[in-house]
Amino acid sequence: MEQFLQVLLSGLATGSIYALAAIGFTLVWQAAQTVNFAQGEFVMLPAFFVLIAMNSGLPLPLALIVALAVSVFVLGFLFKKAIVEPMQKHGNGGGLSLIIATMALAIFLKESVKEFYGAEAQPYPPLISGGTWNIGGAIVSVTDIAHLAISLGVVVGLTLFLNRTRTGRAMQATAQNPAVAEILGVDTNRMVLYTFLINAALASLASFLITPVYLAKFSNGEYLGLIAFIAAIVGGFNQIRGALAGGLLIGVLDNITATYITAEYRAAIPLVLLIGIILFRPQGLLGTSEGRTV
Amino acid sequence: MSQTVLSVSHISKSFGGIHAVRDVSFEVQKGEVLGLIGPNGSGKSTLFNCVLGQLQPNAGAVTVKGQSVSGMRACDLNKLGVGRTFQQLSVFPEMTVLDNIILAGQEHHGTMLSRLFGAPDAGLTGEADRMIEFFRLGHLRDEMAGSLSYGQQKLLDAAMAFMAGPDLVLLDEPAGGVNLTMLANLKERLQTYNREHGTTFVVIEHNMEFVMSLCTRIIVLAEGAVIAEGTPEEIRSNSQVIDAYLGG
Repeated sequence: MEQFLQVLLSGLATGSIYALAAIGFTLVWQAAQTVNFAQGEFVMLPAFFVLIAMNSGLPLPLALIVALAVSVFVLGFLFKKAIVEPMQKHGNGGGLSLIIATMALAIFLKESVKEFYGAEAQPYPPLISGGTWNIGGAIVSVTDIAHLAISLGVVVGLTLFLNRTRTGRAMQATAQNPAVAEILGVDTNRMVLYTFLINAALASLASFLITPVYLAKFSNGEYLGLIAFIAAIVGGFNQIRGALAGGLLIGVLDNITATYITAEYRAAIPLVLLIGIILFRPQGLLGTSEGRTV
Repeated sequence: MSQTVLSVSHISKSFGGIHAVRDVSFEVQKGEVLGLIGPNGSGKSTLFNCVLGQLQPNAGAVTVKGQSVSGMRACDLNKLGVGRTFQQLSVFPEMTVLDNIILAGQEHHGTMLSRLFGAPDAGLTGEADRMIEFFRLGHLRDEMAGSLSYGQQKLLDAAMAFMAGPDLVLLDEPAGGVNLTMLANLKERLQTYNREHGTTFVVIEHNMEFVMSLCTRIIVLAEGAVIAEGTPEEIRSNSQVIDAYLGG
């Protein structure tokens, strides 16, 4: 029982970080009706911004702030202005061309980091380094608990922002019906930009929390992007709570599989889950069906 | 003294070799209810979209309260005092009726900071409740908009268009698909609103009975050009209009 609690909490901690990236998929889907296949690289890159800032002599807290600001600018503002907006002008809101552009961006970011920083994994300082706590006989890492608390806190904060502020409501209106929102005076371009900035901030936070586990490596985005994508689909691509549930579920299942079944096939579990969801509940666990006229 | 709210001057719009709108001019005065009618393909919607800045005309100009709206974004038009309803349903289905109405007014209130982080009711709940009652949607206040009937959603759409207190409202086929009881209700509410607030309406509609009883003046388009203009009685007896509609 103690071991199960340990495994569960550790899985929830990792899953909550996956959820941050998965929520980014959901937000970008709602705002721009596209899938950002560079999302994994969006999680990989901010860690390297932190390393660059630290190599310039900044202490970790300041390096994190600088990296967050640079990431929000590059992965939020520049991504929207330089890639999303030009592609959306090519009819059908960008459609397939925008999706392919994000795939190209993923390769570009990955190869650029490899070229600039090398293929070797770089050591990366943990945000929170602590000991362990004994909870009901289970020995759990303080870092895991802190990761879970930070991630869930951010998700709760984001949900409150979307539901309890005028901007959040306007962002929801833009996601539900952009043409009508615009007619009613909502600056939909600005709302979509806010969504991209929030996505970049979430990806940065996920990066800061997960990189101490994986170390900073150019290829981190491949796995993280895939897991976050699957988490968003499993939970429901059009619901933030769905992406959260999907991330937590994958984190827990991954840990349970590795501990009780086999560590060798743990990477297969999310894929099996994905296949099952697509076959039996394509809208995801908490998602809703969407109709589209083509 | 009359006050021009909308001025359309020599508007023309072509798509390739097709002249959708040909040299159309008219003015709408404050408090007027103008109907734009015509057979299918007569250029009504194209003209409407030119007025709303959604299409750039090849020639001519559109001004609202003396200000050119050429190239203006829809959200800026709204801030200028222009509201509109859509031919298709245009509510936010995953929000309540109350939240739909508040959202329709929130961009006109508060400072930049309060618009960014302020509470979503924006201090508009009282005003929104009055608008809900005015359009007789009180019993549906807390229902999700997506669960309303088609006619109820049309009423909600109209209520949303009025929430920001516009000077000019463009109604795009408000009667389309609405049952007779709901239609009578909608018409009566629009007339009352016009009488009480002096709001100017421009209405595109196929339902002749609705247009004739709602509008004070009617412009008839055929093949992109104005073929008749006058009161409902004058239009009803105009031989050119009868020919255009009956193909005689």
